[in-house]
Amino acid sequence: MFARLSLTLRSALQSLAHYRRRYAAVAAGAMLAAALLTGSLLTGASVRGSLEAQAARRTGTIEYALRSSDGFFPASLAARLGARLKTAVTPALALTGEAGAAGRGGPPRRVAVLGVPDSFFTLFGGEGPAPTLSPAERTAFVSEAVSRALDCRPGDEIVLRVERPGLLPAESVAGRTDERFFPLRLKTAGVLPAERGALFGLANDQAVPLNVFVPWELLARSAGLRGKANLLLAKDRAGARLSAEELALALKSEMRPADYGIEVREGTGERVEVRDDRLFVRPVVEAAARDMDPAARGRLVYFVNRLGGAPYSFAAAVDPADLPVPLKDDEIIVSDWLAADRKLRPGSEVSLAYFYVADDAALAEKEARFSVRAVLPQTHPVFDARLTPDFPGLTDEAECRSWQAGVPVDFSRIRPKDEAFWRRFRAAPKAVIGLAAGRRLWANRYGESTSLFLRSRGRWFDHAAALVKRLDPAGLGYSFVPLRAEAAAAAGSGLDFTGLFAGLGFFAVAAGLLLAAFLFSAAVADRRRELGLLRAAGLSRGLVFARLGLEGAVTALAGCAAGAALGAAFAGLMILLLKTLFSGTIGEGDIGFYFSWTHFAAGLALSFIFSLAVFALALIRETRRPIGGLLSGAPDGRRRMKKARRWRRLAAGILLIGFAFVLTLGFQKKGIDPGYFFAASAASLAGLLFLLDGALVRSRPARAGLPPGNAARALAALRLNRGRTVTGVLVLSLGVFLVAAVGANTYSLPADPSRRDTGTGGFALWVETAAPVADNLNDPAARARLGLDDLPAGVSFVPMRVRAGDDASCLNLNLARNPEVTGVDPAALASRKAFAFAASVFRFPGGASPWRALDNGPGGQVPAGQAAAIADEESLTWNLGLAAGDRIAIRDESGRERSALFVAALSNSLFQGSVIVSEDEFLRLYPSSSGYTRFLVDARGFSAADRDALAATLRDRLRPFGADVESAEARLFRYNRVADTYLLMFLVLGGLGLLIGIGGFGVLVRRDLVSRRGEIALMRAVGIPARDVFRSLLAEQFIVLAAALAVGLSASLVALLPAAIKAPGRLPWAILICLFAVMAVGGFLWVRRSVRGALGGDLIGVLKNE
Amino acid sequence: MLLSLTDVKKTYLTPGYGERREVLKGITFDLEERGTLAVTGPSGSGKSTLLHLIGLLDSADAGEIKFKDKTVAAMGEAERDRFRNREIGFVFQLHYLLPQHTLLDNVLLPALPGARRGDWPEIEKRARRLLERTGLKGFERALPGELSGGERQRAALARALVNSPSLLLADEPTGSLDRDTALSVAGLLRELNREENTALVVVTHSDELARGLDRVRRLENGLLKPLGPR
Repeated sequence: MFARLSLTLRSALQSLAHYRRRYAAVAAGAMLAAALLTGSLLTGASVRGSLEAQAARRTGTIEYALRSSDGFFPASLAARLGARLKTAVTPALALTGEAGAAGRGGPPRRVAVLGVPDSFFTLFGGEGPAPTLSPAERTAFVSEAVSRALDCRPGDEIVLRVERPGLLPAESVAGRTDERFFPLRLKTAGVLPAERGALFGLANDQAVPLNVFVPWELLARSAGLRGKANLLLAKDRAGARLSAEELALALKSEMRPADYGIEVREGTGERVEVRDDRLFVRPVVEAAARDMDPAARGRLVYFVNRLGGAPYSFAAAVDPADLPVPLKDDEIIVSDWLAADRKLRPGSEVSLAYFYVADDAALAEKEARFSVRAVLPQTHPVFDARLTPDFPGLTDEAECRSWQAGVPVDFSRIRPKDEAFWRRFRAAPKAVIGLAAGRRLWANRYGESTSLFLRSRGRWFDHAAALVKRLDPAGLGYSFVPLRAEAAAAAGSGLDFTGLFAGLGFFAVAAGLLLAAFLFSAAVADRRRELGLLRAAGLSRGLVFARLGLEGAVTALAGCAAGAALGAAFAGLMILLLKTLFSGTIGEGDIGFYFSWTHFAAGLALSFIFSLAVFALALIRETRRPIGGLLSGAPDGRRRMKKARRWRRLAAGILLIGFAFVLTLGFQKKGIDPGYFFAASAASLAGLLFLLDGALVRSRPARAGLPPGNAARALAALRLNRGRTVTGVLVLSLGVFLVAAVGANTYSLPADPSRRDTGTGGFALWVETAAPVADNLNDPAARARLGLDDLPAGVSFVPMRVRAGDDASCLNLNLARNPEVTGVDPAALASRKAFAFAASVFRFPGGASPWRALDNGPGGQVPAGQAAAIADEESLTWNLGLAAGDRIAIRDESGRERSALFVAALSNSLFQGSVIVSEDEFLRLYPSSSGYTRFLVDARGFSAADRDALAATLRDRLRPFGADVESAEARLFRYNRVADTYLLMFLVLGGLGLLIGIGGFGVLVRRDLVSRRGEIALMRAVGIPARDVFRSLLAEQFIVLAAALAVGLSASLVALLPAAIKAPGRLPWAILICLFAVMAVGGFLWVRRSVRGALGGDLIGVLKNE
Repeated sequence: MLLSLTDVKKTYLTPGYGERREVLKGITFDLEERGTLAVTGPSGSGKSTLLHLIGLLDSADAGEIKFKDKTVAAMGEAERDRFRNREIGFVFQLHYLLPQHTLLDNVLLPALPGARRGDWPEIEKRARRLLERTGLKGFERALPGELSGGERQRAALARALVNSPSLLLADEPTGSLDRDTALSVAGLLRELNREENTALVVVTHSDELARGLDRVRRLENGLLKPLGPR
């Protein structure tokens, strides 16, 4: 047994040694495939490993984070939660601002200003003791990105302009303010290393954050938020892991009214008063209060511009039960002070003018008229100033002239008697109307009461506890998110470079495998007589298969092992290229080479299995041949098929091409999907190859005729070696296809960016502000207030609301789990027919813009309960892993997930990175959000110089809001550059495939010519001139080359036809023609060289040996 | 009776053009154990086809082939493989020695499928003895490329006999050899036929080789016509 096994193994080894040159070529093909496959896997693993490491550095030991969606809470909540959870919970204050280096020029950079206690730094790793900050010395740490951006070093001073957080919604009448930022001058204590938490951030992307770490007390004090925080960071716990449920329970138990920003206090007349530090009692709080006492009485106090002619007063809308006299909706009770001032008495008409925020955010003055029902003393409890909530900038000021109301106040109208009233009665209302009437005038989405009065059934704090018990922290925007788990998941499920490389390297891998398979097949074919003899000697097919299979396996293993090692080097090179030449694709990601044995082994195993599979196919084909046929050594007679099979092949080809075309049309409709792309390309390639194969099947030659010329001889040879011909065409055309198809997808900026149907939507500028703009910038009054009244005619704005989230643009490699959401008025874009759409789920009559689908009102096309959304096709495909027609879960303000249907996909637009919903939908998702932070600026017909001037004006006038102004074209270019970098990377991979294709084709040509040296020698011996032999052979190979180019390009065109029909101008014909020329010339030279080589040497000697 | 063919027919399709060509039109003959038969005939007359049918390398379209009273057509492929390995030895015009293997390994090749545990030393001994008998003693470790044409063909003969077959089939065994070498190989073939108790069917153009056998038949127009016995 052993001896027999030994003989079998020895035989295999002897065969390998004997045919070493042939097997070396086979191994080289397998090596190529293994190198590309393992390289792709290791590249993907490296990118993923880098992203995961970056995510780990970003989160440190922080397991969960809570960022209040609006408002601030006492930092003491952290200590209470920590004690309950038995882990460190660190409070922090996260604000935004701008930073500049003191004494240096240069534009300020938008930064994240993080007020942190020293315990924050212990949440991260790093050697030595954790760093500390000194509030007294006003020190700050900066991240390396900030240090680089500002060119500041330890010891340098930096100046921050920090967003002044307001408790009141910026958009509300009372929340409007001119003081949007406050300055902070700090000394840079050092550049915080990444492992110490410099990369900390809540967004699941790999963008390097521009972080400035400030002592928490200092920032809170400077921001007027002493003792407050808006961020809680829960450290992981040794032993039992923290769970979301445990955190939610702890939060529910530990939250107190003050944590919610609610005040519960003893009111008048055995009532307990509930107030909200957002001024208006939030609807969920009011609902909870009414749950405690369904007869709770509301009170709504409002600042009015004119009251019966008296300037700037407070008026109150009072629950009927609290009214001293019943009031109809058009009746009012005035104080004796107002009655005296305006000479009013019962039955007098009183006008009441007040500011109101219109739907378009414009501040509008409205007026209502009332009839005086009664006149009561100003000291009457109904006018009690203590029942007026705090209006920041008003109620805390000593005199009227110091008011900072945010809304326009004409101080010239304020009389001495008004100042006297203010000094004596403070914010006491001068008039009272019924609650229902008041709510009709002043209620808004933030609430409809400024106070609620509950019937007292005990001590006030019992009521407070009962109210808190009824509140759901998540409903008020307090919920912990699993920061570390989400970061790891986003990094782990981000852009799949493994798949990307393997997918794009697929053709190159396939080319390598094909080459290996062909060479192996040829090597086996050369040993047909040996197979025949073994079979004749009684060795079964299985034994013969095993015998040669063993040789193939050893060859494949050797090739794949060498290839896998080479793949590691290839991955190293790709990482280097990603960091340098292709750096655009990884944004600011810090990518390094990570070796993974798992991926290495997977690459080796997969390539080995693939190689074995293709070798096995070749062996099966040979061993199935009749023994007599094998002994004759002739090619397989079965390959000379009957005519009927020729037509079957042709029909299959035509069908496959048709299928590819339909598939291509299909994916154009839904948006580009790599799966469709590859399926369509594979089908068209296969179809064309079937057609070629069918055409090459031999038909009966003419019985008589002239001796064949060079071309006829060439054609006959191609037909005879149909397998080799088709393999040659396949190997070459794969590379040609990939390069041509990818090259044709290269983006170009729109020739005329002012066109509405381009990626800029025809807009000139893109503006982003750090502080929300509450005004409607199209309103002349608002423009006048903001100093924009001198804007040139024709300039208009499309304002957008933005909810920060993960960047879903190509600048982010991670999967965007909670993408940024943008709210826009669909009518503003639909009326302009702005932007081109790659796909739309619904059709609209008359070619109306798909933006209309966002208006999902009653009778809308999106199913009830779902939001309608639009996103850029690139973001959808690559960052969200979705397509038009798919759904996404959007987390609303209270942390609940809401389903949104993507009704359309934008084509290559500057809206990358965001999920767009209608403004109405946005406010339903985030009711407490306030103001606009993003604007599209329309300036049709402006020259480039005019646009630049407009940008400069906007930058200057909107500086109080921290505005960044960028040309729409430049923004689009930034995205396109990333996409083009990807394409360049793919072109390099495609080029590699093409090189393998051309190289492989060269090997095939050489091998073919070597095996036919006897035939060539014979032709020479019978007197055919060397020139004719050369031409004949050259013609033969050129036909293959031309067929390969034609098949590759045709397959590309099939895949690109719909795009070419839709936008013929977008296809870069010049690139295609250049690529074609390079491939044709390269192939020509290579073939010529091979043929010339084959004609050299001792041909007569060859003939003698034959 | 070792072998019996009754009205055996074989037709081929013309490659590429789908035309039918009847190569064997009804072959009938018997061969007793240790008997010898020479088949001659012009090129393309179907001699090799006949040999392939006898050797179970191919199947007849009609008629019956019986080997040791077993109908060949009833055998499955695996059984045919086993049967061929055990009962039939082949010598071809070309030696078909595997160039990568030593002579001894080449001779041992047919023994691989059928050898049982413990048989191998005996088989190897037999292979060496056959090499010695064919005049190749000392060449056991030589590669085929190091031998002359006659030596290679003698090694092929040793390989054909290593499993002690009951029938040796030789297809133009001297066709590629010079006259002296051909005579030497032909003589060896006949000697081994006798020594090994093996029946022998030879397809040949060589009258000298044919004359040394019991019966000579000529294959012409698809039919086997007697020219002998001698």
